Amino acid sequence: MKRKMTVSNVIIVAFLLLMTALMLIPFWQIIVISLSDSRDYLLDPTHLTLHRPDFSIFQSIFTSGGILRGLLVSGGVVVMGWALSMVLTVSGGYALAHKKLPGRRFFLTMIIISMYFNGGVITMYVLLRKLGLLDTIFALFVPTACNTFHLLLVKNYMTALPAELEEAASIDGCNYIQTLIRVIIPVCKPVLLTVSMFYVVNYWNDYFSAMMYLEDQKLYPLALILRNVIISRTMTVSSLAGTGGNSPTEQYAMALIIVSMLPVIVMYPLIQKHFTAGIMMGAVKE
Amino acid sequence: MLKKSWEDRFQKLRHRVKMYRYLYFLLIPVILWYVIFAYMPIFGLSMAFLDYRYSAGILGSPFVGLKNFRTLFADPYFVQAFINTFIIALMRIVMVFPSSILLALLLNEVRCRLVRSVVQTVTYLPHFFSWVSMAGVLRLVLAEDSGLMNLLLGFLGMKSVSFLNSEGCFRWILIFSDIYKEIGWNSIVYVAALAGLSPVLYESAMLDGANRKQLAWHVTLPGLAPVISIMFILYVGGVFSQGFDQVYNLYNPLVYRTGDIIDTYIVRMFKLNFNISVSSASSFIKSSICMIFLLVSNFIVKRMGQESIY
Repeated sequence: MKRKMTVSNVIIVAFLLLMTALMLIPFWQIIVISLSDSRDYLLDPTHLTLHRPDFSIFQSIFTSGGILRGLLVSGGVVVMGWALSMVLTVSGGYALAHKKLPGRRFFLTMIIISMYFNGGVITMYVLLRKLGLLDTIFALFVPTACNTFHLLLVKNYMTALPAELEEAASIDGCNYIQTLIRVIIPVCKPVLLTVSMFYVVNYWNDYFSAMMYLEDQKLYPLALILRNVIISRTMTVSSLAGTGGNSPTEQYAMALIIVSMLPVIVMYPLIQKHFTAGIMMGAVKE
Repeated sequence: MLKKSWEDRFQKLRHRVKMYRYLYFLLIPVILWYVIFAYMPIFGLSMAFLDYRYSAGILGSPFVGLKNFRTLFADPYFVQAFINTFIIALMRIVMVFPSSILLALLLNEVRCRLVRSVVQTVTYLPHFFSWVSMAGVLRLVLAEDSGLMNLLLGFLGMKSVSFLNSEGCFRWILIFSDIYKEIGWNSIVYVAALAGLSPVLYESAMLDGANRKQLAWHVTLPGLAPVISIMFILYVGGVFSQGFDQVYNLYNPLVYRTGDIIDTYIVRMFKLNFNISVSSASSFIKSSICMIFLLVSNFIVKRMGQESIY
């Protein structure tokens, strides 16, 4: 019995490690391709061994005006979007975490319904047109600023906090807004970090808003430029922004993928240890 | 008497509302945002029943009944996308949903903490990459002439396959790439739930002579059942809305017949001929399907005696 257990354990561990290794191979390939010069690229079709790292493509990416502009737009959207999202999510989550708030059920139901029944992209286009937000940078973050799932995560986390925290703060003379800023936000660090990362990643990866709501190619974020580069490698698309006219090379496309993944990879280890705590505490049912 | 108690209750409510006035103040921005960016578009879906003109607006455009829906169902591309949406959603429910439970169960058997954290770190990561990047990765691996998959097939003596242009392969690519990207992320909830199961249950079952398989079947799975049922409802409710980014970045005209879904059809048609009303009609259909499936799965899970969300 004991022996049998260890054998099956070894099989499970081996299987999981093999799966993990297989998942990593494509990413390794991207790195290798982006660092190969055209000769190595043609000589080794498997792209699994790194010969002589050649950073010239990254150099050309970071000196290209179109890409830098895209990075700037993406960065701006992330910063402004994150700020707006956190204001909405934290203030809304905090208010709705109070079980005795009159009207709470109504507001919660209203928010949850929108999670499963939405108007879709066409009506949003018409709405943004009416509001005069089409072709402005606001179209890239305002329509997606509040995410119901994240709001509920924050709300549930705050509901699970001990009530004494608030009582103590109110005895010390804090009103709700002061309590939120001085007491609640500091103790909610795990869930707020987790939700921040979700928002930042969503804004960073969002090509769709730009594709639907922008005509002006000067406002294209990196994600959309990347999409145009990748699509242009397999299809003939007449007008492409940021690709400089002729079809980009494979190395260029792969290097751009790495640039777009970099912020996520840098943030990931900082936030990773909070995920489980943030998500599980937030998922507790009331 | 009755009147007085009403007055009493009103007074109490007024008192409570006043007590919470700062909280309402905090609630204003969120509610405003939901009204404008969630409920106005839902109201805008009424365009599906109109012949919408920008100049006339929603209130001024003529009502045309179900004409837009008839136009839609007369289009073979829409009908195909409609059918594909169901088939692909069903494949996801059957294959993608259980995959993360399986991963969590396997991880639960691993005692070595280093192995656990390596596997978790790597499998969570792709969740944060966009489908645009993932499409770049998949195009590379599945490329017809030099992709890793075809090099492998060639090594095994098989003919190379143009995966992303093959109608037969496309849905399977969707399923496997979805698993690849989300398996780790979706397993988080189950891993945490498994960690929360009481070790006393296992000990007493082992004292009763339960073997490993019996432990998994009679202790672990019943312990996970509430989490699984809630995740199932949420998954089924959301499965029709997911997949746009994935399909949109992976497909091409050669695989429309098996890969096109309602969401991608909407965007393509909208970019092609800008017909607001017909596009709204397809949005309306899709949102209704989502809602129906959420309610039905909630009902079924309730009937099975598991926890439901409403």
